[in-house]
Parts: sequence; structure tokens; C-alpha cells
Amino acid sequence: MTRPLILALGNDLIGDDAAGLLAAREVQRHSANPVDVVETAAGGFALLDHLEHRTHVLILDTIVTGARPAGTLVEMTPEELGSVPGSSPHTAGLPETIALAHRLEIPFPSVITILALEIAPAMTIGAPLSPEIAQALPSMAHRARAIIDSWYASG
Amino acid sequence: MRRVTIDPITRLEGHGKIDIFLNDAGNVDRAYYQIPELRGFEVFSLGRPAEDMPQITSRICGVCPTAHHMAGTKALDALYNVEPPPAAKKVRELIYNTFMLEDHALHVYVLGGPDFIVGPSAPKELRNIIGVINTVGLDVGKKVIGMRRRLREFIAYAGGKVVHPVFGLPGGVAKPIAPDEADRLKQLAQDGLDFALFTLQVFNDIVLGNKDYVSLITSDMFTHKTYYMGLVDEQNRVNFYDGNIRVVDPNGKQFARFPVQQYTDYIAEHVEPWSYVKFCYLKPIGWKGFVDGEGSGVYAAAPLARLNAAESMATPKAQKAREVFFNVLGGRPVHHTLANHWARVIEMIQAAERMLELAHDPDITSRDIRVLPTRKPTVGIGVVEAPRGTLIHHYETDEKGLITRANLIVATQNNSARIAMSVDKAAKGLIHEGKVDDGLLNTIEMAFRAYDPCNACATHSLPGRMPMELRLRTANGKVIETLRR
Repeated sequence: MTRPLILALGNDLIGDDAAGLLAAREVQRHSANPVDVVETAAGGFALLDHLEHRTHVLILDTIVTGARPAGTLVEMTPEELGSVPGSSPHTAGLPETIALAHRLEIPFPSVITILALEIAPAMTIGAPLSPEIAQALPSMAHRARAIIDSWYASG
Repeated sequence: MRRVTIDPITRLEGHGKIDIFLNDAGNVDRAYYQIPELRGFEVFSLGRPAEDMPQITSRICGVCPTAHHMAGTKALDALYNVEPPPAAKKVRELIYNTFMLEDHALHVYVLGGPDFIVGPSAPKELRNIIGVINTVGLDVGKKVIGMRRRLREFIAYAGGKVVHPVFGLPGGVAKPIAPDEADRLKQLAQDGLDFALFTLQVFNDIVLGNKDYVSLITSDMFTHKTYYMGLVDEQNRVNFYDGNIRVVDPNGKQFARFPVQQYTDYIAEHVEPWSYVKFCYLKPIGWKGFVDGEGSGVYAAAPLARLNAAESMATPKAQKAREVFFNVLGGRPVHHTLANHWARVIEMIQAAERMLELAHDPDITSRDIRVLPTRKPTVGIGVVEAPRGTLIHHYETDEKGLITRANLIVATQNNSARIAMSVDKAAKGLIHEGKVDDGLLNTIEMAFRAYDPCNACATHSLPGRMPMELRLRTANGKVIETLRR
């Protein structure tokens, strides 16, 4: 196992969209095991640069489905996130990025776990965290640490 | 009247929604393309040091941060009334053309290209980068990803960061190109040019070689006779980094040519009650609604518009490709929205050729890269051509350099009226007597994908897949049918 990577996605200028970044910082401060953290506002194929040559990656992000209350923590595998979609109007999503890596035989993580907080659409620059997300952040960080620890425990 | 709603939830670009209102006969009365926009930028900017703006604005967008950073940096040049030395301008232009090449390549192969390379009628699940690779071969896929990586590595080297560059400073840049890096750059630029020319060949073979595709590109459904805008140099050639803004009318005749400092004389914003988007139009002509023609102020930006607005490309191989473009499509200006894809490939060639020219220019390693600003700041306006169109940053400050007013005209905003018209036209062409099928969604998507729209692109929430939801509603809003995929 290479040193686990936490890939935190989000934009720290836009309120709840920053949840993944904030949780990642919290994990890095308190994790018992060494972990690399990359924060990025990029998406799609830009993520390949971070995922390549890793074995274990934990993605911390937010999710907007409208189907769950804001602050709900969701844990998924990439497969559960969805099959390869059609090309999006603007950029490629994570499933497409993973499919591309497999197709091109790019050395890619064998374990990817996605941990996401359900948020309401975040559209205001400079907005603070909503109370629901602020309250949910510790549980996100706690679960992230547990995942990292379990990877170390299983070697 | 019934209402059809298409609700694509996509990663990065926020939540677009298309509402289609049907009349009693089941035909389209009007289609609305609704997109939420980021709010609060101006309020967020107030009181912040102007020097922070190129960093702040580049963090708004994870897709084209280099464009925001460059427009912001140029606005600071103007704010402090300082002229960067020639070497600094060349380093900026070099980085910027590298970014344009990389961004355009991504669109051609990953975002817009699949519509044509895999085929407009291919199943949606095949119209993606995997489908492209299956069509053009695994080696091409490796070439695309490898080239993208090398271009981004250079931007990271020269720009400080890939995602949020930090190289631009008022009056110059943070560092020159190191001599040993310049040697590597020459090879990268040459490989980039070969890659761009290869891409043109792919486009020629697969798209232009198929008369059905050419018919689709030139079909009335994807055609609007509007004005076009783009930056040009002194000889009216396409320039991504600097120059005057030129606007041509639907006949290709110059309507205006002005420095960005005068943009408020020419560009105004129209607000509709059903949309967060401000629809840009040409102020001297006025807002006449979502209609095309010489009497309407609607205009377009981005690759097709840039080719239309200029008299020529700035580099020889791109110019040769441009001549073929206009010969095949009936002369300048071309009004076919889907021709944006072809124009984008031609711009890839210019970006690569300009990279190559600058890679061989000894000035890029000069240490004379900055003039320190000494004057009191007042008003600064900067412009670049972002991949998706003309991008304007406008800052005003107090004498301490703290922001008192900030305004952005983002690239896609220029196209917002024309995008709305494209969606409306596609819906009218494909919905008859209430019959709606998957082909409609594909066609509408193709219409707005050609513009490479960048709306609300700063949010990053999953799901990362794109469920399309289409709801048929009665006049009173009751959902009578829902289609998903």
C-alpha cells in the first residue's frame, strides 16, 4: 500500500462547497497514521494527475441530490456513483475519469472510497458554512479517519 | 399549455434546467434554458486589496483559472497604469497559449468531440472519451492524455500552480523561463503543433468526410445570423492574449473596434425574470429580444465568433486551415453553431504555433520581467479571450488600492442569449404534437455543448453523472409524465 491520499474536492470561497476541504484539514491534523492530502477545485481528468500511481484514495466531496437532508453523510464506491455517463456539457465526471484510466491502463488506485456530504446547491461566493454542514463536519472527519485507519490495519 | 422540463444535473457546471412550454396542440411555444449563476462576487470583493484579485478570481473557476488570472493581472496593469516589459508580455502570452491549447484539446476529444467522432446518433453511453478511443484507437487516447499532461506540467512550472496560477503581477510576471526549461519547451511546442495538426486531420477524416455530419453542422436548426465578437491585433488577426475588441455584423462587416476600456459603451446586460443569467447585447443596437439579424443586439463570442470577427489567423498553418473552413462553409461569417468545434481545432493550431514562436524567442528567458507600479490606483479593466469567449475584468479602488467596485463579464455570458436561442430552435424543430424522445435531449445538449458553456462552474458537488430528467407538465404544473436516463 502506498501512503493513502485524501483527495479533497471543493471551493473554499463558496460556503458548503468547501466541506470536503475542511474535513480533510481536520483529518490531517488528527490522523494517527500518515496521510497525504491534496485539495483541489478541479474536476474531471485533472484528477488523474493525483490518482495515478496511488493504491488507496479517499475522496472527500459534497453531493447535491436533493433526495436527502443537508448534512447527510454518504459513503460510496466509484461503481455506486454511477456508470460511465455520456459526455457532460462541460466536463468529465469522476466515473468517466476512472473508466478512461482503466481503458488506457494507467496505474490507478485499487481502492477508492468516496465520502460526501449532502448539501443544498452552493452558489454564493463568500457565503459561510450552513449550520447543517458545520454540524456534520466532525462526523465526516471522524469517518474519514476510521477509513484511513482501516486501510493501515489491513496492510 | 403543457410544460416540459429537462433537468440535467452535472458535476462542475451546476444545475442547468430547460423548461419547454407546449401549446395545446403539443408544439413548442417557447423553450427556456435556465442556469443558476454564482452570486456575491462584487460584495465579496469589496474592501479587498486589488492585488489579490487575480488569485481570487482564478479560484472562482476550476476549469479556466488561467483565463481569470490573466484578465485580472491585465486589469491590475491598467489599474496602476503600468506597462509590463516585452519579456513579461511574452511569458504571459506563452503561458496563455499553452492553456488555450490544453483546454481546447480537452473539449475537442472529451466534451464536444464525442458528438461527432462517435456520432450524433450514437447511444449516449458511447458518446464520451471511451467512445472516442474506441473510434480513433487506444494510441490516440494515450496521445491526448500524454499531451494534456505535458502542457499542464509546463503551466505548473511557469505559472506556479496548475489549477490556480500565481505568475501574474501588476507590471509583469513573477519569473522568467529558465534557459534549460526553454529547451524542453521548444520540443513541447513542436509536439503540441504536431498534435494540433493531427487533430485537424482527425476532424477532416471523421467529420468532414461524412456528408451527414456536414449537413447537420449546416442545418437551419443550428444556425443563427448574429453579430460576432473577438480580440484582434493591429492587423485584425485573432489574438487570445491582447488587442482591441472587434465586432462584425451578420454580414461580416466591421461594426465596432474598440479598446476594452470602452466596453460599457458597447456591451450591456439584459435581465429576464425567468433567469439568473444576464444576457449581454450590443448597446448601440439595443435589446430586441431573442432574435437574430442585423437589427438585434444579440452577439456571440468563442471560437467561431473569433474566426468571424477577425480578418485572418495570426499564424500560417492556422490561417491555411481557416481558409479551408470558410471555403467549405460558404464564406465569412459562418453562422452555424456546430462549426464552433471545427473553429476550436483551428485555434488549437494557432495556440501551438504561437507557443512555438515564443519558445524560440530569447526574450522569454530575460530577467527584465517587471516594472514596479508606482502610481495611485484608480480604475483597471483587463481583457483576454478565454476558451469560451471574451472575458473582461473591471476593478475600481480607493487610493490605497482597496476594491470599491468589481465587475466581470465572463465568457459564456456573451453567448447566453444565443445559447437560449439555440435551445429554443432545437426544441421547436424536434417537438411536434407532444412527441418527445431521447433524440431531443441529445440535440439540445449538442446545441449548447458547442458553445462549451461555463456556468456556475465553481461548485464541485457530486454526483458526477448526468441524469437527464424530462417532465411533461400540464398548464397548471401537474407532472403527467417523467422520462429519465
